[in-house]
This record gives sequence, C-alpha cells and structure tokens, in this order.
Amino acid sequence: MNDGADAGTNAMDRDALINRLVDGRASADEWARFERLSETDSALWRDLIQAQRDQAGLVGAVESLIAVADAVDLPMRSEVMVGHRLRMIGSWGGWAAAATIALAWATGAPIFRGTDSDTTQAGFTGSVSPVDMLGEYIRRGQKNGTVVGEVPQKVLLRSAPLADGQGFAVLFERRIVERAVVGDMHVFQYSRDETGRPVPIPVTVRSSSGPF
Amino acid sequence: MEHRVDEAATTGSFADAAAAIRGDREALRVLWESHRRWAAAILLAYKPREAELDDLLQDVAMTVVSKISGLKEPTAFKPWLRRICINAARAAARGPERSRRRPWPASIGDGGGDWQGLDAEPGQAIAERERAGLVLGTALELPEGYREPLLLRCVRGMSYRRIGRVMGLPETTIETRIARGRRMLRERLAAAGEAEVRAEGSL
Repeated sequence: MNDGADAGTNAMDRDALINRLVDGRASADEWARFERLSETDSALWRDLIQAQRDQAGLVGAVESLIAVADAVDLPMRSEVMVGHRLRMIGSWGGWAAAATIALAWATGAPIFRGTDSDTTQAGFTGSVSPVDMLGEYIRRGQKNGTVVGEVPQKVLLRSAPLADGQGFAVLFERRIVERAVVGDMHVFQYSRDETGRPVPIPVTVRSSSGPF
Repeated sequence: MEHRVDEAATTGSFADAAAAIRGDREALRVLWESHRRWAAAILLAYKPREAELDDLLQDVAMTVVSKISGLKEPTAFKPWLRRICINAARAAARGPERSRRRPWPASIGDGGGDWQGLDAEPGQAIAERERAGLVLGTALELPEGYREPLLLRCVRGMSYRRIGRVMGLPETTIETRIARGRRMLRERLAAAGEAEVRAEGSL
C-alpha cells in the first residue's frame, strides 16, 4: 500500500495527511505536500479516494441509524416515577402490589405517593396518572416480551350526556394482548357457577399457529 | 472559526447543564435534544448488534432524568452522559433480552434516512447502500478506542474538539485515533474485497 512512499514520511504522517484531506481541514501547504508525495507514492490518490468513499458511506449509515434519536424525548416525571415503582414491585414480587396497581387503574387514584426524595431526585412534583402507568406497562411489557400490544380498536360500552350538558361520558374498553410462557398446556378460564359467582375452570389449550 | 462555534456551543451547554442540575426541566430538555444524537452514536459503538438503539436510548433518557440532580459539575455532563450510554450498551450485552434480532445490513437498507451523496441512479444507490452497510459493519469490528471516535465524527457538528470533550481526551489524540481508525477500516475493507474476489474465482 505504501510502496515507494517518500522516505521521510512514515505511515503515521501519511494517515494524518489523508485524514485531514478527508475532513476538509487540509491547508494549502498540506495539499502541496500531498501532491509531492503522490509523485513517488502511486497508491496515495487511490487511498485518498477510498478513504473519502468509506467516510461518505459511514456517515450515511450512521446518520440513518441515529436518526431515531430525534424521536426519543426525555420521559415525563410520571414515567420516571412509574419506572421506579415497577422496579419496587418487581423486588416485592407480590400479588398485593399488582392488586394495588389494578385498583389504581380502575379507580384512577394515585398509588404509592412519592416521597420527597423521589420527587426531588426526578426534579418534578405531582402524581402519577393511570394513563401514564398503562403506557409504561405496555412499553415495558413489549420490551420484556410479556405484552404483544394494544388492539387499536377500542370497544364502546356506553355513552351518556353529562348532567351539566358540557359533553358526554364515554365508557370504553381497551384491549391489551399479553404473551405468557406456561409449563404445561393446562390453564384456567373464568366461568360462573350456579349462583353467578366467577370460578376458574381448567381448560386444555391446543397449540396454534396464530399471529402470536 | 470551528473553534469559535465550539466555544459558543460549549458555553451554552454548560449553562444548560448547570440549570438542569438545579431542576430546570426546560434546560434539561434543551440539553438532551442537543446531545442525544451523539449519545445514540456511542450506543451504536458499544451495543450488541441485536439490541434496539431506540430502546437503549430511552433507558439512557430515563437515567438522565432520574440522576441529573446528582451530577456535581456542569462541565462533567458530556463524559457523564457518555458513561451512561456505555453502561446501558454493556448492560444490554449482558442482559437476557436478545430476542429481536436485526442484522445491520437489513436495517440499513430498508429505506428512509438521510443518505448524503447518494443521489445517483437507483441501481448505483442500492449498491452504495449495501457498501455503506459493509463499511459500518467493518467499523463496528474495530477496537473500541478507534470505533467510538470514528462513529462520533459521523455525527453532524461533532468536531475533534467536541469528541475530545466527550471522551475526555486531547484533540490531538482524537485526530490520531480517527486517522488510524480510517486506515484500519480501509485495510480491512480491502482485505474483505480481495477475499471475495478470491472466493468468486474459486467457484
């Protein structure tokens, strides 16, 4: 690659010169030096062209991939708090914590009131909304493979005009598809007994080639 | 000229970092938006291939928000953010979540993105994209001390001086590493090309 190079120019100098030309930082003196060197180093022009081509390709590829960064904003305060809470729940691993979350989603009540240190660390104040929590649950579930996603269509259950005439109350269902790995093919399905109470019924699941 | 622009950007960056440490959300947002692209490039340099860049960047964003108040010096913001990125990428390499595999050439060649200088004929553009995928794949095989500055240099606005501040190294060291990294890249690509020609010839 470097056959016939100027005796006073070692490989490092040659690299540095090509580097400055590729970056468009070369001075007139450096261009003149390059031309002098190229008279004895037959590979110099070829290496410069190759280096420029590599750089163009690399810039294109890197810019294309890191463009996703423009869509990644800092999480809102509630997401940070939920992340902290979910880690806490994970460490408990208990149904009580899960039940509390379910209750919070159902009632819209804030859960696990943040301590002063939590809010100070995040730099924000306020409470966690059920919508934030549900979004975090979906995002994290998709990340660890336990949530496939939310069905885009919501199911309308009921709507009624508000008493003050300022709009409508709409009850709707959001459906989330989860994925679980089970040890055997027996799972439980909820049914109702003769008095109407919900009871778990063991059912056998057949393997499926469905979308999930 | 480049140095004056760098100085102005650095001064603004320090002021935003100082305000963000004090809890100014708007300053933190501005800071993040001006640094997230190079943070993504660092993740790219260190992450395992199958890990998703945007997932890792979200983890980094989460850490930035939750830990910024603990940062002592505004001047340390860039090395601090770099360390968060490297830790996130290495954690992804250790973690169990390796299910979504997406090799580089497929993700690079699947359209979209801002491809500079690739306005040639369609067939030639495709060939250039394929080659760009090969160049990136080869760059990612370089030793980390060379590939990190090489990738950072591909981010718009990242001068040697700025890269030096991120990596905590003198500007001259960055220039030397990029020069050597480019030579290694050129030699490896040439070797790969020769091997391909030899393989075709033996068929």
